[in-house]
Amino acid sequence: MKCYKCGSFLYESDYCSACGADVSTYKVIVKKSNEFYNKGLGYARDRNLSRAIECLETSLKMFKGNIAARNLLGLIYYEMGEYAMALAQWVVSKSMQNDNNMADYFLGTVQDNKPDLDLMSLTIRKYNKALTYIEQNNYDLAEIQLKKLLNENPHLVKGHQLLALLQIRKQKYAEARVALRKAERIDRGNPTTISYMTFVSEEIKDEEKDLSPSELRAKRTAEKSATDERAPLSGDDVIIPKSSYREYNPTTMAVIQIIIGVLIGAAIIFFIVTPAKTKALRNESAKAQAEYQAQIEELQNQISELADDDSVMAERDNYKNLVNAYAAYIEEDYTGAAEYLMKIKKPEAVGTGFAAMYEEFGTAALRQAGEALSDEGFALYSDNRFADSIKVFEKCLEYDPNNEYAPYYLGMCYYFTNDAANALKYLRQYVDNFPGASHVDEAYEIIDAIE
Amino acid sequence: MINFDEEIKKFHPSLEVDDVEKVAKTENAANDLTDLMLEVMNGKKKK
Repeated sequence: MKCYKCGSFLYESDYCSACGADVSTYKVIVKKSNEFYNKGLGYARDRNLSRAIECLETSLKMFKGNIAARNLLGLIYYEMGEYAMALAQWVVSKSMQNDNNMADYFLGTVQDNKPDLDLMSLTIRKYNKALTYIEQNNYDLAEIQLKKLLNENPHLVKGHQLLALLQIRKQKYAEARVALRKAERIDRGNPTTISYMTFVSEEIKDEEKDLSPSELRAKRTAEKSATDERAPLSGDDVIIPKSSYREYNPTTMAVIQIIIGVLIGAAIIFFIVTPAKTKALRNESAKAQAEYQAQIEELQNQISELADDDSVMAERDNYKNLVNAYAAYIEEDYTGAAEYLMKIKKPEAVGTGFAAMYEEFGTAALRQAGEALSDEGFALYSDNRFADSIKVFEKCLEYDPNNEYAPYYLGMCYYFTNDAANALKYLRQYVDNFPGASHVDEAYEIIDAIE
Repeated sequence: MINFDEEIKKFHPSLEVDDVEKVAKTENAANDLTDLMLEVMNGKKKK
């Protein structure tokens, strides 16, 4: 803040430090002016331009040197299509503060563009002309003039309001509402717009209250088409007839070509690639089958070889048992030799050399083992241990089926253990095979006794 | 109810670009509250 008298910068004191002037009242006025500027700025940001103008004008009435308020006021006038008013504020602002002033930018922008400046001037003249037509009761001409100028200067709020007023006069409320909405979009808080809009809305409501929903829809559609914006035609306008020719659309064609390409690709895959691949798979399958067959055959061969190995193993066991039997026979362990000999399976199948060896000592070893078991069984029989004696004599017969004593004592043991069937079996075997043996008479007596 | 004749009186001719300079001079010369204050203060001094 600067001193009103000497222009020096003012501090907190109520007196100017340079000239000593009393600046207390001056400070209060400037402060109030700034408060109104801030309010105006707030309204302008909310697009309540009418209230913003009120605040800024008050601010300037308090302190006309409030540059920010004046520049903002000019900007708001400009936004409302009042170009001359805007220019006037910026010019005054510039005259009050030549340097570091935003008005420089606004004025420069407007004045540098001569065609726009001329158009602004023309639209304002047209508005004034429309007012003249109204004074002369030429309402239709005024309406045409307003529509023209609003097409060129759509921000002129009072132009929209005047047009709305003319349409209200003709009871064209829907059209009036369209004009008012345009004004409302620029200046939200304008009292004239609000007042007209309230009236128009009520009138429209009254008109529509008796209409059915379908009639209402039809009315709205008609209103919408009637109020569609179209610039009024002038004498220089050229009307071009509609043509049936359609512009080549590269985007659509590109999409169609891509789709065709994809279809062709899919067909190629289906008819060419897929059969070839199927054939290849079949060949691979047949090849794999042949390989598996070969593997199966190989495995079967291995199985048969392993079977042969079993026979080899068996032959080896036979030789092993024969050797062990021979060793036991040499040591006169006849029962031991007999046990090994009994493990040998089909000695004749092993080989001629093996069979000869088996015959050479095997038969003798088994006979001697039988004799040894016969003695052991007799001892048990003598001790009346018939069950044990039976086991030993059965083993004896297994080793040497020609043992003379085994069938007799087995028959007797079974007789004493009350097993008549086995007793008869063995005693008959005894009397039949050894008719001249020493116990034949006794055997017959027992057989007779049993039978 | 809107009275057209009454309403139309509220619409005034808009400032034309050619008149900007004239209006600017008027605006510049217009008194504000600080001018009034100075006048009052000068009057006091004269007295």
